[in-house]
Amino acid sequence: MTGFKKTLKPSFNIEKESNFILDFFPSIKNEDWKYTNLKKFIPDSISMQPFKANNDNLLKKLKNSVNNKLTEKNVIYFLDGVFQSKISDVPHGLKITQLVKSENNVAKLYLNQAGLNFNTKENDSYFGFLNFLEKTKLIELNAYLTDSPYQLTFNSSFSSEIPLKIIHGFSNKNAFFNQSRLLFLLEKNSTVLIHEEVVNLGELGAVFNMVSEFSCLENSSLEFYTIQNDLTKSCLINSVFCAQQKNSSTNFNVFSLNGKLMRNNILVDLIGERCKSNVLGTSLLKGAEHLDNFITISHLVGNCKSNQLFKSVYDGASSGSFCGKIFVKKGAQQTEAFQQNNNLMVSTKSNVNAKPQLEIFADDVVCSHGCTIGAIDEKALFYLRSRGITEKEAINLLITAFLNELITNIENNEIKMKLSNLFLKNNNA
Amino acid sequence: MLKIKNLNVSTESNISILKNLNIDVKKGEVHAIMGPNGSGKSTMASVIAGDPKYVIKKGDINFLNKNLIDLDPNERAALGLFLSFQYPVEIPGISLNNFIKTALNQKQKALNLKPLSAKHILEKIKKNAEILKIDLDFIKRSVNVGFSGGEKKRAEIFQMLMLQPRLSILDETDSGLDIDALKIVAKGVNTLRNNESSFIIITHYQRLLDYIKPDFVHVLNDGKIIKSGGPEIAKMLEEKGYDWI
Repeated sequence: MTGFKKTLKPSFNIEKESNFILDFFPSIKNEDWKYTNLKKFIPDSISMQPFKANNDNLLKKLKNSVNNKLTEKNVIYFLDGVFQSKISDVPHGLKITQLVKSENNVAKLYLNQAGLNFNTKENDSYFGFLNFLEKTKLIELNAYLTDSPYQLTFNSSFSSEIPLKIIHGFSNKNAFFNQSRLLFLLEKNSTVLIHEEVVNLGELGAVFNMVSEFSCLENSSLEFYTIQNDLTKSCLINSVFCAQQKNSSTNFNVFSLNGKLMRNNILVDLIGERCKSNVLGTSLLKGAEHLDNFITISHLVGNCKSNQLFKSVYDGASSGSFCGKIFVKKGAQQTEAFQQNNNLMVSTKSNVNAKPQLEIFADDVVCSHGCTIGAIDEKALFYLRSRGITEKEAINLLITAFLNELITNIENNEIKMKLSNLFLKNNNA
Repeated sequence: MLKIKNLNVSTESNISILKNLNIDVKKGEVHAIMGPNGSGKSTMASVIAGDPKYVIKKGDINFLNKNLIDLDPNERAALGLFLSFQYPVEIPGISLNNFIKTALNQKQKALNLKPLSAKHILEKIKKNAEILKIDLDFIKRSVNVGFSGGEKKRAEIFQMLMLQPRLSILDETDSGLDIDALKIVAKGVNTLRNNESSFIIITHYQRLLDYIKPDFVHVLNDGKIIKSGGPEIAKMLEEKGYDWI
């Protein structure tokens, strides 16, 4: 906690007896958090992770935690939010720097006003996501609690054949409240493929409050795969803020398999014309797991395309929520925006809340949304069983078939194979 | 091989469909079942295959000296029973190839046999695809998704040839087929026909029976068999309709 007190805004009274972290938790009366009560998942006694708890042993453990069958090139490691150059392999064309935070920094986001770069000046801060930020003080807390954040700059010639793997390791002793913040700057014409994972090296039941900010400049292209497969019963609050300049394209693809709580806030602003954005999610939940996908894509100018597709399977007593918003600003003509949310309920004890939201203030647009919540198709089940396939195996096949859509569409073979094996393993478990 | 005795079947909402149905299919025989719409032909086929949506009120279904009533659909399939569906179900995301491999190996497992090698399965696929004039790319497509009516039926017969059942029930496999497709389907059935395997063919038309010669023809009406005989019955029905009976 050293060095933290003085950077706080006076309005946060950390001397008071209750745990001040809890003051930053949104209540379920907050519309954006209606279906996820953080207080139910995170213990009152939660305390903060001390900064920079790294040693060689931990680094070794972190390195070994990653499936080494995958290529060792292009892997960068963070431990407790600190970049580990010793064990990382930084690809050509990527520069990792640190933004220097001023003492009284109160920035919620580091994205600058134009969405073109990052800085720590409050008066040059991007205000596109203000509505959400005001309701979700956790992002602010993340800014207070992270050291000077890292900026990853991908230069114009950056083009990745092999995905860049980002591993966020956390030493996490005694169930700490962990932070991480990364700023991604994709320079003009860069093509970036990232695969991100969280590794908990410490005890069960931790909380990871992760924030990623993206500035995608003209003609840049981003593919970002997040694999949420934490076996240590931790809570993950993953927030992504992305501003796209003209002709850029992004593809955020989230795969949620294991975790006590997984909350994904993905907010994309299309601020230049002819942008494309896909925000996709595939999840397989069981036990008492909870997943909350909160997505907003804002079309602030015309001629952009976006697509949201979320497919989830709920087994056991798992629960979830999908809240997807398409916002089309007045004058953002020729917008094409789609949203689809399909939920397969395998168990009668599971539940899901789906909330599509369309706010359209332009008249020359094509927008659609669809949502399905259903059980296993009895006809299909009988058909498979009539061919000699056992009920359990038939259900597994139908679940795999349901989830496969977004996996088979992955172009990168390495990521595709990893995911299809992960889902197969989890499905059969 | 298959012996159905006094079978009474209702829907879940207690509408009686099959009423004291009796049928006896011996090894190597081909039985054709005809009958007006709503007479219970498809229900009979589904009940033999084990569709859980029907309730068996009374009666027995014996297959190879085992009572089928307490067996799961997959257990019945493992014994050698096959149903070609009147309306094959579309299953997006599972390729026909993957589906058939899983089915074959599940059957092997149920019979305590070793899984078949990929090479062996591939050879079998190629052989049967050739008989049915199926393109190998077709097998990579999702099961029945976007298949034409004819393709769906051909895929059913393909599965039948792959699984080599002892008793196959073809539920209106000829409906909606053009004359060439009909010949191909008949060829598939005749390939499998031997002294050990039997067929129940449900159809509305005499035409299919020109290509697959039945040993017996039964007429089903209002849930029971009202007439049985040789192939001549089908010819009479074609000429005179069901009023003739």
